[in-house]
Amino acid sequence: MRYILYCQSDLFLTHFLNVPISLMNIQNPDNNTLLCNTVWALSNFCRGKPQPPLDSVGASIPHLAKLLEVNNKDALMDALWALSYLSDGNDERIRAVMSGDGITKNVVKLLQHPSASIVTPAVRILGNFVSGDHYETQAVIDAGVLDHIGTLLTYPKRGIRKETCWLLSNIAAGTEKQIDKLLHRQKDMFEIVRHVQESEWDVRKEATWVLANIATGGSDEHIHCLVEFGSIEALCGVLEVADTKITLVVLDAIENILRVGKKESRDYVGFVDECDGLDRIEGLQEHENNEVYAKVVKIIETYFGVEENEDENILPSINGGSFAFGLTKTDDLTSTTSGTTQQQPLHPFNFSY
Amino acid sequence: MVDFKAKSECSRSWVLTRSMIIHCEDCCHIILIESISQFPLHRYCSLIGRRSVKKGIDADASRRRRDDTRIQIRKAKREEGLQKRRAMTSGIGPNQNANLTSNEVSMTTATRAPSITDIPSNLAVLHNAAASNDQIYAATQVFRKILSVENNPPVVEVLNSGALPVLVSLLDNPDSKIQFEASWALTNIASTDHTRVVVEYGAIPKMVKLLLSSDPNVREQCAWCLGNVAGDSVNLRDIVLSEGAMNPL
Repeated sequence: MRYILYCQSDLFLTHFLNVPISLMNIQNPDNNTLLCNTVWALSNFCRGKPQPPLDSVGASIPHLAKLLEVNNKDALMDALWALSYLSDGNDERIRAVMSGDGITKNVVKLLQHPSASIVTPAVRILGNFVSGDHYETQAVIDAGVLDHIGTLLTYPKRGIRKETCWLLSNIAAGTEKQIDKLLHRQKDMFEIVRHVQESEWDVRKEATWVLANIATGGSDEHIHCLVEFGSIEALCGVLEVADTKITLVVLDAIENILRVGKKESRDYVGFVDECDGLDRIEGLQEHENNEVYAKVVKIIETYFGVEENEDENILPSINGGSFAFGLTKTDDLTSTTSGTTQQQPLHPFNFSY
Repeated sequence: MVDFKAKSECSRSWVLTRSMIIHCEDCCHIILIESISQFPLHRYCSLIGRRSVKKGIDADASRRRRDDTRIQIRKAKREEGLQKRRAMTSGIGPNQNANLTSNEVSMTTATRAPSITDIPSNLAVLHNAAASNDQIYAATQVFRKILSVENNPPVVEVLNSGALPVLVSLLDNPDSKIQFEASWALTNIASTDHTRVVVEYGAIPKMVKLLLSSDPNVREQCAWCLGNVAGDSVNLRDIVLSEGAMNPL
């Protein structure tokens, strides 16, 4: 009883008309600090995994969409974080957030915001969006996200560079048309290759995914283009890092580049050799991971010429005790020049026990 | 407003404003921030998960989602300084304004901030059925002030005194100034590791009701407290949501 006395008339209305009062403190805030705190609280409501059901938090999306145009940096920042939590998940969540009025367009626009505290969640949201299906990815591309990646790839804050690469890796995992769009941005592609060569590990890893996704999902033409950006050397460099997952990804990428090269008679095998890629690939035969081992063996056999041994013993038993690949190296390896690859074995293997 | 960027040696990036202490769960790097910023803590730790790229499968399948399974605590304690700023600009309310000012003045002239030694006497006031509204207000404010000191507020002492159920029950007091002081005190308890007890004593449904208060200060403070509770853990977040905090927010 008492509570009706000191509550506003909207409550009264709600009770009798059963109309939800949705986020009045956000729609119609009395002052800025109230708005900021409410949006912050809301972002905490949307936060964490397992995520809250969309039914209980999804209603906030239209209001959060409106906040993107509000002139209040803190409210804007927390609205972006809330949207990033909401859009982090399956296609249903992504679609729900993208259905908010003007969200994609406005978030892309915010990539130019002077403050990193705005750009960070904006990149995160768009990264979530492009992890959806092709249509969702295309909508982000259509909103002009690629126009901003030059700045983002060289952003002073490492987290932003890293998440930008993650975003691009998901565009690179897209349709041929989407890969095309990315490859047409030459300057940015060189920047990505540079990240693969020399960035901090987390950025480097994400950038590696960009090249690897193009290498495994792109057309033959895309792969030639990728090679022209210097991807083979960059990818081979990553093989030096002891990260099994990324090693496997890079091996798949190199394998596919070599496959396309072989098909189109381009000497990508020579490129791999020239940048010490072959040495690294050989070295990986001692890798503890069986999958790495099997891939490496396959690559060496298929592209570095050990056909004559194929029938005998492709994958010898691991129980073989003292067996090891490539232990007996000969001078042939060092004297081999690029261009003499496919017919001539680079490297004799000793299969004896 | 100052935009703090935490320096961090670890691979995680923190974006934050609004807090005195930030720590990175990954490397346990602790950063202290000197000045009080105006709003609650906002922090974020980015983690990117992977999914394998499968060749020859529909490209959608090779897209990688972020795989961040952690929840980070995202809470904020409301400090003393803020209230003073607000009292100067807008005042707390026409009725209590004079009261509050004289209160603050007497506090400063006495140069004694309330401390844990004041807990028993003020708790007695709150337990006294005959206490006047002003007395209840002043006593509630003492608890709020004790809990609003910058460093290590004596939360445990307040909890051990048995004040928590009383503070929660004050949310039902018809006086919005008292609701405000009580919800501020509870906000600061909820900003510590003792968030759960605030929920256990039934504060959440009362705060959800107060989100519709006619007093914006009360609404704001309750939103803040609910934000702290939801930021504690997924479990408490779900309790807040199931109490219907979303719509009236």
